[in-house]
Amino acid sequence: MSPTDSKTPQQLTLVSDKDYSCAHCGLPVPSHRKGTEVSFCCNGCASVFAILNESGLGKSYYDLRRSTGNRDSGSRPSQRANEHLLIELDSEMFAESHTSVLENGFVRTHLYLDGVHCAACVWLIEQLPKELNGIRSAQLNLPRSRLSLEWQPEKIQLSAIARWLWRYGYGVEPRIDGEEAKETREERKLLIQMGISWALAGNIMLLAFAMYAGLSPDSTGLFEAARWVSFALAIPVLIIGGGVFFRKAFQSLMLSFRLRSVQNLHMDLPISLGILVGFVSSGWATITGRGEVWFDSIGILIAALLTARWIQLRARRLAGNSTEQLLAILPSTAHQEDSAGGLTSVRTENLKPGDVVIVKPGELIPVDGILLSSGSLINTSVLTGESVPIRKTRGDQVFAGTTNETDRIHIQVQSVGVQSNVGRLVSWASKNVGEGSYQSGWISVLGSWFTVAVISTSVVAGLYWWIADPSQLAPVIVSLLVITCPCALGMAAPLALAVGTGKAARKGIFIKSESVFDWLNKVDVVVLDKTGTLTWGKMSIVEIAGSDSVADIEIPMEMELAMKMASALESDSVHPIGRAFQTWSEGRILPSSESTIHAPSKGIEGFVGKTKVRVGNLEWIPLQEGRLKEHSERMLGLGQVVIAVEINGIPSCVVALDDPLRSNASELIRHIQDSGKHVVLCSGDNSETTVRVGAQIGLFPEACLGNFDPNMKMGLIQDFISKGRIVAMIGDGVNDSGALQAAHVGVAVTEGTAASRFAADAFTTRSGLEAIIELFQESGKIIRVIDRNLVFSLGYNILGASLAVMGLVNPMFAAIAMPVSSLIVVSSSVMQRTFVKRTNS
Amino acid sequence: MNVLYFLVPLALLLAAAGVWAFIWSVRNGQFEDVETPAMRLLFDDESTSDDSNVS
Repeated sequence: MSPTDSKTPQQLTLVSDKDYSCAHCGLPVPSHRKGTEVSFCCNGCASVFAILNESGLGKSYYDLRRSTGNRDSGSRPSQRANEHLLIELDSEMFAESHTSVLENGFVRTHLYLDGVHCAACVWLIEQLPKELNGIRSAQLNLPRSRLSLEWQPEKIQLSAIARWLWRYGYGVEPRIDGEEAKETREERKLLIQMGISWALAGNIMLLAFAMYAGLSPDSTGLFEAARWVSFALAIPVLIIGGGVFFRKAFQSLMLSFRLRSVQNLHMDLPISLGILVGFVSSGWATITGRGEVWFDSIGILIAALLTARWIQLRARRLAGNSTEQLLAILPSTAHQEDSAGGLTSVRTENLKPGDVVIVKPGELIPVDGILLSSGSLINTSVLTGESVPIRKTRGDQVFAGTTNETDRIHIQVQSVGVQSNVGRLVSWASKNVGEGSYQSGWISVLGSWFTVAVISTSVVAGLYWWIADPSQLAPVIVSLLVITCPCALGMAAPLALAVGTGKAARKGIFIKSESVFDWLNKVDVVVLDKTGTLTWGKMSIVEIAGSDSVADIEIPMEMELAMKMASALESDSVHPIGRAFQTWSEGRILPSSESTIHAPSKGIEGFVGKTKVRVGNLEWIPLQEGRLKEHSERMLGLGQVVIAVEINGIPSCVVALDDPLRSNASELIRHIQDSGKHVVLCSGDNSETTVRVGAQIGLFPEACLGNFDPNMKMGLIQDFISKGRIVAMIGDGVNDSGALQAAHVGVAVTEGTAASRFAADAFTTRSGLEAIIELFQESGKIIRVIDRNLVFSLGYNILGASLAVMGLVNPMFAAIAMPVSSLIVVSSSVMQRTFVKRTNS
Repeated sequence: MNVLYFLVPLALLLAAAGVWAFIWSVRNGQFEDVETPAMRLLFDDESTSDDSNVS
C-alpha cells in the first residue's frame, strides 16, 4: 500500500476515493491511510481527533461542526508548535507590550489564532477556563480570529495556553489589538458618527414627510416650527457627520493649491460643497421664510456616505494590521556564556556589537554577526528563499532570522533588532504600508475633474440666469448642486470595493488596500517568486527507485522496509532532508533506531536492530554501475537532490528529493498569460533550477531569472515601473517583502505563516494558488461593477445637470432624484456576484 | 394640533435616548463581533465566561 515512485507529493497525499474524507477536517484521505471506520488525512488530524475524544470534548465538538458548517475551508492542523514563538510569549518584553493588567493579579492578552473557522472552534477554545487552571475568561472573536484571554501569570504561563491551542491545531500569533489599538478607536468613532447621523437624519425625514404630505404655511405656525426643528437637527449632523468630509475636502483643496494641480482635488470637495450649499440655502429659507428646505436630503446623504466609509474601514480591518512581524521573526532573547560556563539569557536589545552569543542547533539566530565557530548548516530561506541550508564556516557572516540547523555556534554580534538586515527590511516595508490614497487610477482623477466640471457649470449657468432671469438664479444653482451632488459617484467605487473586500475575506483572501482590484486589472507584468510561492518551499520525496523495475505501482517490500529504516534514522533530524523523510513516513509504523551518528554534509548512519543503515549523499555512499546508478543519473539530470539508502553495506534504493510545484501552478501561469499579461519568474535559487521549474509550468527560459537576492528582486520591479509597466508581485516570506512593497500590487501567499503579510497589499490564508487565480478573476468582475456604477451615475449627473441648468428641475425634485440614484448604486454594489465560487477542499 | 408641540420634542427625547444607548454600546464593544455570540447560543452547557466584557 504505497505510492508509486513516479508520483509527485501532491498526488502521493491526495490519491483518494470520494467516499473517504478525513474524520477531523473533511479533506480527502490518501490511499494508504484509509481506515475501516474513521479515516484521517494526516497524523495531525488523527491526533486532534484522539485528543478531543480522550478529553471528552469530541462529541460536542463534532456535533456542533455538523450542525453549523464551516465558514471557509479549514487548514490542516499543524501539530508542531513554533517553539521560538512560545519562548517569546513568556518573555518579559512580550508581557510589557501585549498585556494589560486587570484586578486580582489577572492580565488580559489578545492572541490571533490561525485556523478558527466554525462554531465548534469557538466552543472548543472557550473551554479553556475549564481545561486549564489560571484562566478566568476566554472569548473568541471569530470574524477577526482574535482570542481575548484573562489569565493569571502566577498560575499559568502563556506558552502553556498556546501549547494547548496548538494541540488542537490552532496556530498562535501575538497581536496588539483590542481596546488599545488605534484602529479600534477610529472605527468606533466613525460608527458613532454614523449612528448619530442616521438618528438625526431619520428625525429630519419624519418632519419632512409632513411637508411632502402637504403641510403648508398657515395660522398654526406648525410649518415654520417644523422647518426650525429640522434646521436645529441638521446643525449637529453637519458638525458631527459632515465634518469628516469637510476636513478631507479642505485638505485636498490646500494640497492642490500648493501643488497647483486639480489632480489632487478629492471627491469629498463636491460632496462638501453640495452639503454646504444645501445647508446654507435651506437655512436662509428657514430664516427668511421663503424658498424650499432640504435638510432631509443633506442628513441622509451624510449618513449614507458615512455608512459606506464605515463598511470600507471595517472590511479593511478584518485584513488585520501586522506591524509586529519583527517579533515573529526575531527572537527577543539570546544565549550568552557566563563565567561558570553555563548559559544565560539576555535580551537582544541589550547586546552590543562585539558581544558573543551562542546559538544551539535548531534555534533562530538572533543577531547579525560573524561566525566564530568552525561551522554549521544555516537555513537562510527566510532571507533568500533558498530552501537548502548553506554551510557557513568561521569568519562568514550570518544574519538574524536565519536558522542554525546542525551545530552549536558562537557568533560575534554586529547589529541587532531593527538595525539588523531583516529588521531594516521589515521596518522599511511597514513604514510604507498605508501610505497613498486608497482610491486609485481614474476613479480619483474622475473625482477631481468632476469637481471642476460641476463648479464651472454652476458659474456659467449662474451668469446666464443672472442676465436672463435673476429670480430663477438661486433655485437653479441649488438644484444643480444638489442633483449633481456626487453621492452616487462618491459611493459607486468605495462601496463596491468594500463589499468585494468583505466577500474576499470570507474566502481567505485578505485585501489591505482596495486599489488592489484596480491595479490587478491593469497589471501588465506579474513577477512570481519561486520558492514557497509556486513551490511548496520544502523538500519532499518525489521519487524512490530501487534496483528492480521502476514501473511497478507499489514499492517492493524490501524497499519499503529500507525506507522505513532510513526514516527511523532521520526521525529526529532538523535537516530539510530529514524532514522530507518524516513527511514520507507519516502514518507508517517505524522501527526504532539506535546509536545514530550524523556525518555533517554526508548523511546519517545507525542501527535498526542488528541491521546497519546508512542514509546519505552519493559521495558518501558510492553506487556501482547498474540500475541504481542509472536512476540516480536521471534524477540528477532533473536537478533533483539524490540520496542513497544503504542496508548492511549494500545500496538498496535511491531517493529523489525536490521542492515540488504546487498543484495549481501551471493553471495560474496559464490564467495570467491568457489575460495578456507578461509573467516573470524570479528566484534566489540558481539559474538552472529556476529555468527548469519555469519550463515545467510553460515559461520560456528568458522569463526565468535565477540568483536574485531580495534587493535585486526589488530592483527588477523598480526597473519595470520606471519603464512605465504596471507590476504585480506574488511572493511569500520576508525575503520578498521589499519586492512586494515596491510593486504596484503585492500579493503574499502566506498560509498562516504571516511572514510577509505586512508588506503585501493583499494576502491569502488559504492553502495553494487557487486563491490567487480567484483574486485575479474576481478583481476584474469588481472593476466591472464599479464601471457600471460610474457610467450610471455619470449619466444621471449629466442628464440631471442639463435639466437643472435649463431650469426644468426644482430643488424638491432634485432632492428626491439624488437619493434614488444613490439607492440604485448601493444595491448594484451590494448585490454584486463576486467571490461566490465554492471552495473545493 | 397643538399637541404636536409636546409630542415632537418627546419623540426627539426618545430618539436622544436611543442615540445615547447606541453610543454606550459602541464604546462597550458590543459591535466588535456580531457573529460569534450567535454561535454561543448553540453551546449546551453554561457559558464559560462573562459575556458583558467583550473587548
